[in-house]
Amino acid sequence: MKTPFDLELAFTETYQRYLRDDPALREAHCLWVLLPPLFDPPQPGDLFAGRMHYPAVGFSLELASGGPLYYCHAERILPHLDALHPEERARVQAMLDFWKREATIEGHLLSRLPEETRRATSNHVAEMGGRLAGTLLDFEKLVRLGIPGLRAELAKARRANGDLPLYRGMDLALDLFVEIIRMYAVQTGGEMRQVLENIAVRAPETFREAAQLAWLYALVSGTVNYGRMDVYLGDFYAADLDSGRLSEAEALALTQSLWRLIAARQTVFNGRVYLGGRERPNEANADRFALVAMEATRTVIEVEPQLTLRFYEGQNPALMEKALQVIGEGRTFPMLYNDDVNIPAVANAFRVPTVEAEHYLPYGCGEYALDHRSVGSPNCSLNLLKNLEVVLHNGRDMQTGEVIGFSFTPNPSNSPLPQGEGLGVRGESAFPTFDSLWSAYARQLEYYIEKLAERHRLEVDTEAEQAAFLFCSMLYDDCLARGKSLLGGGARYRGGLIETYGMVNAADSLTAIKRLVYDRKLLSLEELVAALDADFEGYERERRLMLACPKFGNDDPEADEMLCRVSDHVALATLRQAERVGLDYFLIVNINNYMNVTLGGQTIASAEGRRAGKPLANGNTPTAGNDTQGVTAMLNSLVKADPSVHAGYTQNMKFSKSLFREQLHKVQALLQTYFQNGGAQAMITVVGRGDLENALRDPASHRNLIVRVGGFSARFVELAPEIQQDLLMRTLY
Amino acid sequence: MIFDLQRTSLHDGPGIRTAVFLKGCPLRCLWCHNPESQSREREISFRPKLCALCGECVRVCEQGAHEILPSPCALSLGERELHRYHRSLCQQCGRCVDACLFDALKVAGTEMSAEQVMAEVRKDRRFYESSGGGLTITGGEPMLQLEFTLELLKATQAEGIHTCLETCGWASQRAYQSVLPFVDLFLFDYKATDPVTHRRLTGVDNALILANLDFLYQNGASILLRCPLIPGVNDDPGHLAGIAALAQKYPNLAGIELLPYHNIGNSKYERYGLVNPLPGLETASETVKQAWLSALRGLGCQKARLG
Repeated sequence: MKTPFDLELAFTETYQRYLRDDPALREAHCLWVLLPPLFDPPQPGDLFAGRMHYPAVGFSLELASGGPLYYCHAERILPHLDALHPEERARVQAMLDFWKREATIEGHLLSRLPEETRRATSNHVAEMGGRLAGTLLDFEKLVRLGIPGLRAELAKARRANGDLPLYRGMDLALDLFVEIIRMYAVQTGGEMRQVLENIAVRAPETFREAAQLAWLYALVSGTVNYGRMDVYLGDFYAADLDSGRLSEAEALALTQSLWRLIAARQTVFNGRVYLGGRERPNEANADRFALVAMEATRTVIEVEPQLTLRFYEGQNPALMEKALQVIGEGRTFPMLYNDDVNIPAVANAFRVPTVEAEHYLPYGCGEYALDHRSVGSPNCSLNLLKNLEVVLHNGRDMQTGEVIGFSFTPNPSNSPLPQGEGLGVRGESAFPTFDSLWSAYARQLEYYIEKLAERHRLEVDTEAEQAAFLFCSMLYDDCLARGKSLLGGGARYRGGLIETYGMVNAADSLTAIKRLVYDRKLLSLEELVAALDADFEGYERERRLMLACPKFGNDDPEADEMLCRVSDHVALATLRQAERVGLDYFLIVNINNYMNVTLGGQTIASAEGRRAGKPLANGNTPTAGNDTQGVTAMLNSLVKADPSVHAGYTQNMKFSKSLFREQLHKVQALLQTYFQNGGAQAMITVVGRGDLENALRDPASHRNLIVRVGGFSARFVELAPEIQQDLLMRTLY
Repeated sequence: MIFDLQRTSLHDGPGIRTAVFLKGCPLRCLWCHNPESQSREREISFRPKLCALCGECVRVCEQGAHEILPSPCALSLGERELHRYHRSLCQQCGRCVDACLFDALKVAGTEMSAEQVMAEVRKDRRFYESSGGGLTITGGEPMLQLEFTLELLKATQAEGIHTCLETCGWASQRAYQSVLPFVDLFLFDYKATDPVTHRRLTGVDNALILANLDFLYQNGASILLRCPLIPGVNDDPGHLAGIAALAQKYPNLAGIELLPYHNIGNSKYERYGLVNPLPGLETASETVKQAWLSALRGLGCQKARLG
């Protein structure tokens, strides 16, 4: 009998059949059942084959490509359960029950999590999910070798290490890949068909073949970032153009089509395509493609791909010129990354030699990894402002009422996670000096960070046991040579990341408390906390005092030093975990997606004057509207935190169209100086004055107004109202 | 005595600049959009909209300049009228400004030493270098505080930072002679051509101004002529012809900028208890601006552009 979930059921049966087999073989057989039906036919206008959808049960890397890992999205099935024939309903129900135990994260990981670790990583300060984000495959190797070449590599590795199940799984995966290519070849005609037939049997020889191969491989692998495209397509592009096989217009049309396919995949926070930067062996050809790629972004008005430009002193200036033209037209792309700052910073933070750091790439919302060398997923979030709320309330989350942190008493015993409230004094007696408050704040953060690191390690091990990530492993250093899977010891560097939020708010709050309570003694800590608890109702004077304190983003030494203090502490406490839990790196990022709005909603009023529930600052950018001293002051503040102890802070800035149009040379000078001063990156939104306001009033005629939210760009009119408000509040320069 | 210090100033000279606004001006231009720049004294601005009637200012004021009427009066006066600020009693001591938690009271006029200003100026040094920017001293009229201006110019130039001086042109020739070596670019205002009109619009005759312009030009100063144009007030054909004539007379001017009127300063008068001499002026429209430009082009003045 046919149900809407036949594929899910067949996939589940295959998984059960291979349950006791090696995870590499189990994965290969599961993918053989799962993948072919997921590929949809090309749509009119597509110049490449490759569109897909994702089922409710399956295997992939992360949510953006269906997952995470072996997953079951019961919420997509349950609403249809009643409509099924009773017999089928029982089968589907049995499947749901099976995955409750067997899903990699919901089943395996959660069942082996110690209770304390679970509690310490499942609250509104520290929260952790599970996935494998941020894989960066070696597409250059793929298009250079083609499928036969990959097979040969596999054979060579097999000769060295024996006929490992991993290699057999990879062989099966490559067979499947060829199968999918042939399936598309049959469905299509003309040049597309010829391209598909060619890449099934030999290495690509043209731009179109290379792009087609890379695109389909990305889809089967589940990866959602697309590598240094100028490097791996540059030579094909140049050769096709120089030989007359392709005109510039045709090459642009192909790139535009690829861009539309990437956009249609809707990976939202991902979809990165990289251009520029050091360590491109074919730099001249790569530059030629980079210019076409940026032109495609200028002309295809979509929020993906998230085009990313690395640059360094001495790079072909045409790239930056083109980038500013595209940014100036309001595309929010490319995002700019300064190699001269990032490479040494990454070398230090990841503890790798410079030659490795030169391969850094910021994936997703801006988390750094080393191209086809490192894998380190950001699976946890840490709300640095909420931590202060909990410290000021004796371990209590004031929104849920739960005790989730330490009890800080006059004689702190600091037992981890107390059962009930301790001696229960909030206020002065607990924190006679600012340093005592600071150390409570720092100590509690360390506790959460330790637990997050332990959980991350446990997750890596669980995932390694459950899956071999065959398609990823084949294109990752040094999986083939070592005969080990991506997470099972194959990837050269295995790490993890914590996404931090509210760093700027926490710093500004601490600045205000230090100044008002301890330095100038204008308020007692009790009065200040009472004002926060009341969300400033009846405490307008106190709120004014807090608002008047210095804020990050104004080149003010007092505020900026506190930001650095918080940043350094969290970054170093996290960095130290790697060795303790046995990872190659464990680092924080300070990025944003829409979590600043979500987590702000979970946090009561704070001492920088922010009202309860209001959004947190966006990445390492001043809280919306708090930067009042001009753009140079803001840019000077941005560069103060040490870039060499973390894996990426995002810097959002909003400029007016008129500034870009009328004073472009001044914008260039601003950015150039910012980067020379140590600016690591910039995400720039350019909008006309009044555009956002007009779009709120008349959404229909502002469909193409694209804004940078944080780690992703979006059509302004499609955003939730509270995110729209947050964007409106940000200072427009 | 300065009343503002703006970083990332993009409209007062070349490149990215820091602008220092000095307090006090010998002119009283009817359209002035910085009324707090006129008096040489400290002034206190009051914005009733922000006042929370908390009474802190009443408590600290020894002169009794602040008064909060009992709340029943709000029925007849409206809530905003309850706080009375009696400027005639005020000694500008600024205690009420420090006490005000709501930014309703603010002071215009801070004493700063040249070295204090330099500390701010230095912060953006690298932005000046990359953009060809620097320091702009403006006002008010910087020449009224000649010693300070001279000291700041010298210190700035000594550090290799580009200097602009914006001036209305009304000071002694001796004063201009003394600053001349330390100014890389003069932003020289030109407001009306006809002497009688000039007097009516600004309060002073323009003979001295023109003489100073000539002196600076003849002594090799680099000069950007800045012409505020206020629709219906000074944008008459005679004045446009006057601008064109100056362009012809002084072919080596660094440029001519037309500064179209903008009514952003209107709300400021009230805050300082001043009377706006020309209320209700309209911000110059795009059409009007283009008409000025084409008129000047017609008179052979190619240098003019909108600032």
